[in-house]
Amino acid sequence: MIKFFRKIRQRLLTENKLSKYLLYAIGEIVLVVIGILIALQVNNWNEKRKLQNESKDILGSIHSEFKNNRNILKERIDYLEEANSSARFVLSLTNKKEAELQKFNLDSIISQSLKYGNYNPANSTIQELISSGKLNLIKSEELKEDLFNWLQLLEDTDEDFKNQDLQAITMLEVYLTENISFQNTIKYSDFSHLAEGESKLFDKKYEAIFNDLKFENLYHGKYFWNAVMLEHYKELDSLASKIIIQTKQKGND
Amino acid sequence: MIKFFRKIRQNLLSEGKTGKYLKYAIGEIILVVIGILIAVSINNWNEARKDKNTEQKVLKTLRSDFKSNITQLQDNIDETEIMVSDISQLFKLFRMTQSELSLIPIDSIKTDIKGYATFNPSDGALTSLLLSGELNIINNDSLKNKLTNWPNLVNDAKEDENLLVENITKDLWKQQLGYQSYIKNPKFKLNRLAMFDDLILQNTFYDIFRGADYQIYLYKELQKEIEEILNLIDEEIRL
Repeated sequence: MIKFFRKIRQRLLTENKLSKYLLYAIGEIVLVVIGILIALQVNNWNEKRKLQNESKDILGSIHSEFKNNRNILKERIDYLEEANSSARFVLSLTNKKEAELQKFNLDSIISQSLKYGNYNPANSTIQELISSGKLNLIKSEELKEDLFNWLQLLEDTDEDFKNQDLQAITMLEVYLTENISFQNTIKYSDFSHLAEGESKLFDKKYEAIFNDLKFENLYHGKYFWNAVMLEHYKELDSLASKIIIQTKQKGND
Repeated sequence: MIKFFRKIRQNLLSEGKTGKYLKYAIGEIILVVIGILIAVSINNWNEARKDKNTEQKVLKTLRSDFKSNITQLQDNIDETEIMVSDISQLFKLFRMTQSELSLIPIDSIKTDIKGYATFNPSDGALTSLLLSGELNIINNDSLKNKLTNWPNLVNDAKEDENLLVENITKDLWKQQLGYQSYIKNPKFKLNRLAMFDDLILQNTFYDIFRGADYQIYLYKELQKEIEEILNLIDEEIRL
């Protein structure tokens, strides 16, 4: 092949004819094209290497982000389970007489039972992957799906948190505002540093509210939403642990 | 130059030495590869330089946005702290009996909450950065993460802020209607002291008290986060 071209070129050049020289030039162009293709190959290989490194980094940040998310989630679960056992205790005391009720520190139990909170994990790595269109750097389809599921589950959880919040703020707490003293309960809450004395306006008699159907129903609602939220949190927890396992790499544990 | 190369080629070809010609061809290919790689690197370097310039501009806008946010938060903290201390003064009155209360010049005491603070961050630069997906222009990964997460933190704080505002505007103001005369109309005989015997009103004040205290905590957390962001930005900005 080369010999063939060489012969043509040789002949063309010795005869010194411009039109024939063009044929030689084509041969030269072929060489340049080969050169360009090789250069592209080198460049592609280099880009690929960079992307591989980047996707390794991404897996690493997802791994550490979810470990952190899971720790916070565990705290949330413990916090809510504790509050819920107080709510259960309040429910067990309904319809009891004053003498029976006085055996317990109801200010503290009610205050404990009202605790709940939102779960807002950091999703900066996923959000950034989506907004920058780099989600394709994650090769595992399963992991990609789990990450989308995570966001979906969080949305569901947030919706029910709004319900839980609404029940607490617009129903239970409104009832309690009219029937107990927050000055007395605050010292058992997360805001104990604001506590000062006891209210002169509350006689510390609880029989009336513990025998009120409305009170029982409101506490049952509280208990119900706590259970719903715990269910969501546990679902999130198992998904997070799955994601943590999938993103585990050598040397990042 | 071209003439020179052509002569070399001519020589090689006319002498009919395939081996030498092959060497020449490979040499030429290598030269082309090197040339292209150099061109690509120059292009990359130029792009990187342009990105770096844009990054610097973006960082400077972000810095001034966050600086104004930190001042706004400080104003909010100051205002909310005044609210907390006003309410805590009121609680002293709630603890007194009516006969003790009658000895106090009640008109000298603030018995309601007129204003409240809300946090409205200046985040134009950040929003456009996040929406356009150009966040990658920022090199520092921990800064990038913090910036992505910032709107979430603000939303959390705003949620609690809304609750506090609702407590004030919906519950407190409604409950105080019977005790206060905001335009000091002498036609109405008000028993302002009676408000300190109202359990529901006291509980409402406790809700606001607690909410305001938590709001101060949230504002301070946001300030801390901004300080960390500002430190990261300062590290990235060339002097």
